[in-house]
Amino acid sequence: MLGSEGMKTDIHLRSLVFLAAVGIAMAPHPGRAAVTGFELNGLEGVGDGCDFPERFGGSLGASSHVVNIQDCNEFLTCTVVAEWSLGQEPASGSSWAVKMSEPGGACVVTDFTTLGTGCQDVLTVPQTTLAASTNIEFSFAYSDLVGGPCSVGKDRATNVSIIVLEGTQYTANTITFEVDLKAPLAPVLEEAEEGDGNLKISWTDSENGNEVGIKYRVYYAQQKFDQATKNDFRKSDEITGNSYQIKNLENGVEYWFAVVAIDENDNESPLSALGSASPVPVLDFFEAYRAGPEVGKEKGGYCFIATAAYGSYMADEVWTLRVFRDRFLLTSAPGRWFVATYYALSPPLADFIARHETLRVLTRAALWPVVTVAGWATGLPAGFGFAVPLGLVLMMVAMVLATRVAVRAWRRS
Amino acid sequence: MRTANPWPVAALAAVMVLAAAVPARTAPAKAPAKESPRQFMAEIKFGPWRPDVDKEFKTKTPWKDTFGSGLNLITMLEIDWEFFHKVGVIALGGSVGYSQASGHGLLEDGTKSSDSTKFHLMPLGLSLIYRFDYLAQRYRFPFVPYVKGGLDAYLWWALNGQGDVSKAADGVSGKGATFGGHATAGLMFLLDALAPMMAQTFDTELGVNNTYLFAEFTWNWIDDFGSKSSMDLSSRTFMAGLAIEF
Repeated sequence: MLGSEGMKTDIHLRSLVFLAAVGIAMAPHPGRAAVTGFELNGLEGVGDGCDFPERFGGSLGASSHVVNIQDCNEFLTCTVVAEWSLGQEPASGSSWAVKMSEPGGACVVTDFTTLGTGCQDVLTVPQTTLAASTNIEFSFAYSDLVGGPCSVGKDRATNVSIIVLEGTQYTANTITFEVDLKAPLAPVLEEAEEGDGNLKISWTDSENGNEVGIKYRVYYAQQKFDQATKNDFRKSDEITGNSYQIKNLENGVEYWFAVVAIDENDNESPLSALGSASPVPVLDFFEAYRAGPEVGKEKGGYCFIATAAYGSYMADEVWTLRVFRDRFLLTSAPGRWFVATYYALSPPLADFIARHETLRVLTRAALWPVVTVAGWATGLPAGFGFAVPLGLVLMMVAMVLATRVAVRAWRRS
Repeated sequence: MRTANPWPVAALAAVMVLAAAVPARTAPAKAPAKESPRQFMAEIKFGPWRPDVDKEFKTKTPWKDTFGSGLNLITMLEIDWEFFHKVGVIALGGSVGYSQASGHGLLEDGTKSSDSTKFHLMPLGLSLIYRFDYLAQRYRFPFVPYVKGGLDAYLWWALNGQGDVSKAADGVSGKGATFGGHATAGLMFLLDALAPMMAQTFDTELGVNNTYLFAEFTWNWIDDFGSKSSMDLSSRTFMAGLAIEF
């Protein structure tokens, strides 16, 4: 939701986002030194159901920290425990404190006592002796980050500043939370295009034109729904364009649909107006080719010789060979070459075989070992694919040996 | 149903105009600089394409109804291996191409729907080629006539409005490979004649002997050699393109 309150605000917020991306921001006063070796180890939620999502940036090395509307509503009663560490043992007599700004504000970080405008009235952690360099913890209420109701409709940053005093030197690091409680506006739904088992939904979105990273989601159902019930029904993944095709629908059934906009922090807009439409039967080219009293003669498919021999593309043996092709042959370059060559050479031969019953019987006999091996191979559990070439090699060796034995026996006789 | 195609005439006219601009270098040339060996020809060519699918029927025109009567662009790449150089060149060529027709499916009342439907085509071909480039090689005469003949495999797949491979009501899948043959006649224009020095440099530095603009007409018979269970993807196609010999 950045960039919606004028250029000045935009620049400021963009800066905050950048600082959040770095993970640790310098104090808002130029020249203020950062805490030596500072590292935020993690942010953990305490309370029932307080498992923060990834966008909250709770893990070590997280580069941004975001609170959106959904999280705000879900975690408002949670407590956040932050753990940080220093790069070296603190000097004797060192101390630390934590200040938290109001959303959109900042705190003075040059001492422990001056808060500054835009800073919360009470220190999150009052001045405390800094006795260790690791596993230093403090906690604060999640609601303090939000600073008000989740419905405030604003996108602001809350800064949590950790200030360290060593000797007479104050150093500080600030963790910036982007508290984006401003949802995008609803897109405007356009008339749906009715297709065969599908509906193409389109929308316009001039209201969110200034938003960065806007995406959309389509909700749909066979009945009317609203903001409260939309999650009970089906929805699309996030969409980057301004149209979406809902597939695998039933022709003649009325479907209701609406679209929402989603900003870069996963805030969803309210639903657009509901629309409704019904998929209709449509003949695509090939259906039109094969439809009607004058049916197109093309039989389609690729398993030419086996189809000719077994009489149907849907025969079990043909199915076994198709599975073998897809699972073993098409997964390697030599296999793909074999399949391509087969496709190039077999149709005329298949045509010839199909016209001669004797040839069909002989072909089925010749294909029997192939189908057997294919059936055996396709029944192998996952991870045993290596056994297929091994089996083929062994089978070829056996065939060569058997041929040799047979030839010798024939010569002797 | 087929309309007269003005492209061949226009293209040939353009080639002729180019030829007229060539200086009178068609007389016997001086002893040419030593040329690098010629072994291959690579072509890229474009043209309009429309198959004879509807010829199969007496009472319906599924291709025209869904894709219209317009022509679709087809793009082809071809590599030829030249294995004979005497009076002309004899070569063996392999080609691959792609074309796509897009349209809208038909509603039950026969009107067009908003649902899209597509037909993808990937022609593969093998050709035996003869190019009469004797005059071009010996006298720098810039025209090279040629003929080709060979076998083709057209891989194709039809998509429905959901982008899936179409399946007819009787379960027949809308994809396949259809085989056939082709015969081609064409004329190449030797661009080297326009800039001999540049052509010489091209050969010296890159090994490209000759560069041609060409136009050709192809008769395709793609119906699995008259099979009774195959779609007729035959066509007559004019194509034009650029070729380099190296």
